Amino acid sequence: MTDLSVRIGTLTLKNPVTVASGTFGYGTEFADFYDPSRLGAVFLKGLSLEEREGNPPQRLVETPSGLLNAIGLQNVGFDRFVAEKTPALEGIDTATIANVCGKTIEDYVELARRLAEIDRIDAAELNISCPNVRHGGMAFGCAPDSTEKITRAVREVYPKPLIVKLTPNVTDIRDTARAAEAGGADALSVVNTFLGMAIDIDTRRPKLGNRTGGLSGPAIRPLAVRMVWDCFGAVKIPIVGQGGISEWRDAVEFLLAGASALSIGTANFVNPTAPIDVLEGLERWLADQGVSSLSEIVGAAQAG
Amino acid sequence: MIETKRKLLLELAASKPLNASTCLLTFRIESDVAASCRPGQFFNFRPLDSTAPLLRRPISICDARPDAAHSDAGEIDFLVKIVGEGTRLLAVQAPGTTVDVVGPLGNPFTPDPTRPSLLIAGGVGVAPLHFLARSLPAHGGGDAPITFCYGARTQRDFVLLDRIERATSDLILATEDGSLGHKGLVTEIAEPFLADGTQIFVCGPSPMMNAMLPLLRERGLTAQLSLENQMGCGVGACQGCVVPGRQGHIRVCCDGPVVSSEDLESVFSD
Repeated sequence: MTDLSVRIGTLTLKNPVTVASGTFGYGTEFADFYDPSRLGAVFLKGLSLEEREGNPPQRLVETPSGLLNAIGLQNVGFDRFVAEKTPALEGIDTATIANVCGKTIEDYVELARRLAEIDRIDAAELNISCPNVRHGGMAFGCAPDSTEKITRAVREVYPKPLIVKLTPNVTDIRDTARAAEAGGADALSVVNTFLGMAIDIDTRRPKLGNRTGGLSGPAIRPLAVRMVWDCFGAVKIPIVGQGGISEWRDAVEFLLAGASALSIGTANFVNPTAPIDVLEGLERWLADQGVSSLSEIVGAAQAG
Repeated sequence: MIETKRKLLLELAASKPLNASTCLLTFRIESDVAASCRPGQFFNFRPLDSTAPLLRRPISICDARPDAAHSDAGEIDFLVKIVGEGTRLLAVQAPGTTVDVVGPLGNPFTPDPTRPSLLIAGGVGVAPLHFLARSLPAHGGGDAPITFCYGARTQRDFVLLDRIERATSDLILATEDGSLGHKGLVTEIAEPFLADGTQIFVCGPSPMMNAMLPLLRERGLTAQLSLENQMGCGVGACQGCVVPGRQGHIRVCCDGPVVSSEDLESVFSD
C-alpha cells in the first residue's frame, strides 16, 4: 500500500485527490454519487464577505474539449455560509477548504479573520485568480508585488494552512509563485482558468453575458502541466495541480510534473464520479509501480 | 421509492425517427428508477466517451414505464431534437448501444390530480408535457379533464400525436403556416382555456413562454413553466445554468427546470 497522505502546512490530506473550487458547490451536491469523505479535500465554492449575485447569463459556453465560464463568484456570503452551509459539512470526514474572494485587500483579510474562527473550515485558498470579476480577483494575482502583499496581509490574520490559487494569465508564473511563497503561503493551487472568449457569429456578439470567461477542461491540460512544472522548480511549498484532469493518467502526469495534490474541476460535470475514478486508478497505478510514498513520484519527470 | 441521482449506463432498446430532426429514443431501465421519475425531470446525457463534445446534454423525460412484474424491464423514452453535434451523436446511436446518463435530475411538475389541467406545448417542449399527461390519471384515478394545446411551425413538426390524444381529453393543434389545426400560435388556442381553477403547465421555446406570461398575469393566474438552458454540473453545484428570476438567479438544473410563472419577469433567451 502506498502512503497517499499529503501535507499542506499543518494539515494532512488523507489522499491527494481533491475537488476544485466552483465545481463542487458547498460540498454536498455530489453526495448521491459517492461519499465526499473519500476525497483528500473539498475546495468549497468561492466565498465573499457579502452575498454576490454573480454575472448575468449566459454563463457557460462549451468549446473544443473545454468549457468557458463566467459565473462571477455568485455565492451566499459569509453569514449565510456559516448558518446554512457549514452544518452539512459536519457529515463530511475530510478537509474542507474555503475559497476566499474579495474586492479589496481589506475584504480578503476580514473574511480570512472570520473564517479562522470557523472550526469546520480546515484551510483557506486565496482566490486572487478569478478572471470573471471586475474588482479584486485576478487583479491581485497578475503581479508579483500585489500577490505577495495580499498573501502576507492574510497570513497575518489566518493561522491555519493558507493556499494561494495562481492565475495562468501572467507572463511568467514563477514570479507570482515565488511572491506567494514569500508572502507566507503554505501551498499553491496551479492553476485557475485561462481568460478566453467565444463570439456568436449569428448575433455578432460575445456568447458570454460577461463577454470574457475562464477556460477549463482537457483543452488546458498541457498548459497547466507546464505551469506546475515551472512552479515546482521555483518554490519549495507543495503544489495542488489542476487543469483538465479527467482520469487517473492525467493525475499521474501532474504528479510527475511536480504537483503533490490534485484538483478535479470540470470533469465533475462530465463524470460525477471522476474524483473517485481518479483516486482508484491512481492507487492501482502506484501499487503496480511499487511506489511506497507519493513523494517518490512528485516532480519525478524533472529528474536528470 | 428512489429519489437518488444516479450515474447509469442505459441500453438503447429502440430509436425511432419521428421527423427530419427529431427521434424518440427508448432505453431499458430498472423499474424502480423508472418509477421514481417525475414529469418535468430530465437526464443528463453524455454524447460520447470523449472530450468533444465535452459536456452532457440535458434531455427531458418523455415517458417512463416501470414494469411491475420485472425489476429490470422498465423503459424510459426521450425525445431528441437535433440542434447540434451532441444531440446528433445521440440520435444516430444504434439499438443495443449503451449510453452514459445521469438522472433523474431537476424539480418536477407538481400537479393536483383532482383539478382540470391545461397543458401548453411548443416544439420539442411537448416531451415533458406528454409524460405529465400520461401520469395525471394514474396519480388521481379521477376524471379531471386534460386539455392539451400543441403548437408547431408546420404539420410535419408534430410528434407523438396519437399518444397524446390517448392520454388527454382534448388535443388542440396550431401551426404557424396553417398546415394543420389553427393557423397561428399555440398561445392563441390556449387563451380561451385560461381559467380559474384550471392548473396550467407550459413548455416550449422562450418566445412562446414569454407570450404566455402576460396572458397569465392579465387574469391573475399562475402556471408551472419548464425552462431550459445549457448546463454545467446538472446538480446545482456550478451556478452555470442560471436564468434571471424575480428573487435572483434561478438554477435551471435544480431550482428548475419547472418553476412558477410568478418567479419570472420574463423567460431568458440567449
